[in-house]
Amino acid sequence: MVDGRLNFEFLRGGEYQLAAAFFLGFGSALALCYRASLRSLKMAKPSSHISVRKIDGVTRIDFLDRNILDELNIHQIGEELLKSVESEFRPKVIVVFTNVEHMSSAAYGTFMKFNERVKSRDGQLRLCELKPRVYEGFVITKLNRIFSIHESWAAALDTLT
Amino acid sequence: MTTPAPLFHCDHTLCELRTGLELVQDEVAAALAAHGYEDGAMFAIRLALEEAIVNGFRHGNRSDPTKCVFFRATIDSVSAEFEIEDQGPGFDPRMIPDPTEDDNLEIPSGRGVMLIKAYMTDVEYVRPGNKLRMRYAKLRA
Repeated sequence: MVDGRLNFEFLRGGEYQLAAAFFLGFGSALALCYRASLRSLKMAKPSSHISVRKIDGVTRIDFLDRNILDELNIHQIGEELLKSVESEFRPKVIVVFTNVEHMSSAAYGTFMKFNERVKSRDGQLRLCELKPRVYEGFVITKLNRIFSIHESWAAALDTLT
Repeated sequence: MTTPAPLFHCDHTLCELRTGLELVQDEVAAALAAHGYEDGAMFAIRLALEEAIVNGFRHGNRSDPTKCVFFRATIDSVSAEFEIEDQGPGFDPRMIPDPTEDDNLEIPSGRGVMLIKAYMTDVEYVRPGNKLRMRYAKLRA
């Protein structure tokens, strides 16, 4: 800097154009990165409500929430459940309810849709380790006649063919 | 000799489902605990309130954000009474197909009212059907 003015004397001829192109390119790249990071923040996936593990060819699904009540959560759970079998043919799935203390009627609907999806893929679905009050809900709604419900993981595993 | 907890009464206008539910569930749970309700009763009431308030917003008000649900509760050491009123046209609860019938068993919806009736002692829909009164008797005969 000379007398308060920027000194560009070190750039001569075509160097001006090269420098301008460099700054323009660098600026554009920065702007793109910034926009991409904003977009990824907006599209960030909601935290998962289930854990899905594969154990000797059987898909084990555990709930991370104690309550399956809230409709928004139930919708997300439904999508996660369907995704867990989307690439499988004849899936063998055991859903473990150990952590679940409350379930609402909307949750029953979600499990029924999941049951349909598993059946449509010629698969098998078992539920296990339901707390007595959660199991009572299945009995009241008579959905214990639709679902195959078992006391333990081992008991559920034994029924898979 | 311990002093009995005072009668609990609340009256709320709920204009958003999630925040409304949280407010009501927290207040009711605290009142039930203060009046010595057991875990089983608290489970039943929590579930019935969830179903009733969700039905009010979703089916009664048809998720119209300009409409609210009115909630009133009275709780003492004998019973817990609730009134949930939506701003919809109402419905005839006799017209809901029984979800436990064999033909309806695989339909994924329609079990909310059934669970309310199963868990509460008295359930009444006040005509035209947009107001639900329900009571849980703590001291059953």
